[in-house]
Amino acid sequence: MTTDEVREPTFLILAALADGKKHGYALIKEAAEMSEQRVQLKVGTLYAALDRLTQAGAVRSAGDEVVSGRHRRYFELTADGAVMLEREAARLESNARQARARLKTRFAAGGVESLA
Amino acid sequence: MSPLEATYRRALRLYPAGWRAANEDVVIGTLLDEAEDTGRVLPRLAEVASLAVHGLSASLGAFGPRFAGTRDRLASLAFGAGLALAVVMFFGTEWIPWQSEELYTPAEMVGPFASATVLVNVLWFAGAVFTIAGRQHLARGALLLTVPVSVLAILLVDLVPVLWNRPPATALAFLMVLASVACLGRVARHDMFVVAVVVAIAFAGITALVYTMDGVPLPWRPDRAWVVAAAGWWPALLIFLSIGLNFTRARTWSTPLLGLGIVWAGFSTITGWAQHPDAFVVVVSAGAVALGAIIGLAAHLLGRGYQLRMVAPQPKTD
Repeated sequence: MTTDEVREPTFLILAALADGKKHGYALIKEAAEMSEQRVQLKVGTLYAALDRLTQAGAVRSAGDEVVSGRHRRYFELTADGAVMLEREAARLESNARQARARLKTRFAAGGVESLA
Repeated sequence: MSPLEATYRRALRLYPAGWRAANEDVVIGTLLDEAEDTGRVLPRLAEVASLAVHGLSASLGAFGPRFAGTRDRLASLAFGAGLALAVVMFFGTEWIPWQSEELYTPAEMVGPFASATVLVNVLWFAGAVFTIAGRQHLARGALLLTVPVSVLAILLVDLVPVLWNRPPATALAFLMVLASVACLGRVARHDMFVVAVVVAIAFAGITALVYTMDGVPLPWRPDRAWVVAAAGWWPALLIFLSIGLNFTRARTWSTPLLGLGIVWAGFSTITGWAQHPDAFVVVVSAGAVALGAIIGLAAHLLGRGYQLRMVAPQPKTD
């Protein structure tokens, strides 16, 4: 999996796992929280992304448990996953910096309406 | 089991069995966690649709790698067969200077060629050259271009009848199918040429046989209708070849051969019917193919059993 293939839901899953292992529904809630409720992961999408990330070696299973008769599987970030997340975060930061720099140039040139 | 859980489990049936065995309970747990947290007792349509789409995708993905070998063989086979047919058409029917009889007036010809079919033949040759050079994308482009060129060659002659001779529509349609199939997978140069040479030689052999037998007076069928019926030999030959390969466990070859044989059978029957619309042609050509298909299918089923026995675990000796 290349950096360019990391889409927002995948990025949010990786980010949600950055501070420790989590189960499926916890990942859905955390992704919604991080994106300010903009990204509402569906369960099918979540497990498809987890399958891909597991195959890519970015995520691994961290054990199953049964709570109130329901099965839960925990996932955790691998070292490769942490590198992937760091690289993607750096790429997004760099893109954001570039965008802001160009916007500043645009506003400095005058005659252009401000974002506000 | 609640109706909600039952609905989700039904939606998960679209996933491959192996995936379900490993993940179904965990996914159901997540779905029920989400439903409980949001206070729902009915499934969300979007959630069920998402499971269906991802399940189908996972099933196709699981099938893909197993199918890839067969698909690539089929592509090589179609390319080889199409190339052989293009060569046969080029020299056998399109290149007029080699014809012993004067069939057409110069006004009906495209230079020294009988019709615009030659453009399709040349595109096939270009595709072969690109494949040799390892330029698969260009080869695919050349083959895909044969489709609009074939259609235009046929349509233009309807609009302007004196433009050139009517191209053989059924043969061009068959070449279009072969071109499309050849673009489905990665063509192996060696396989493509082996198939092209085998098909070209077999084509020459069958043609010689047909012409030889055409001189033999047959009291039961004195006209040439049976020559057309002989077109049905081709797919029958492919299907019988598929049987042989199946028993040698070369399944990546036998299955594509069977598929190509059946497609070819359809075109042979249509051609036969177009040229001699009588029951005899259809019975002989379609009958030969149907027999081949039945025996081929039986051989495939037997072959599967044969292979299972071959890989059965050996008894422990310790």
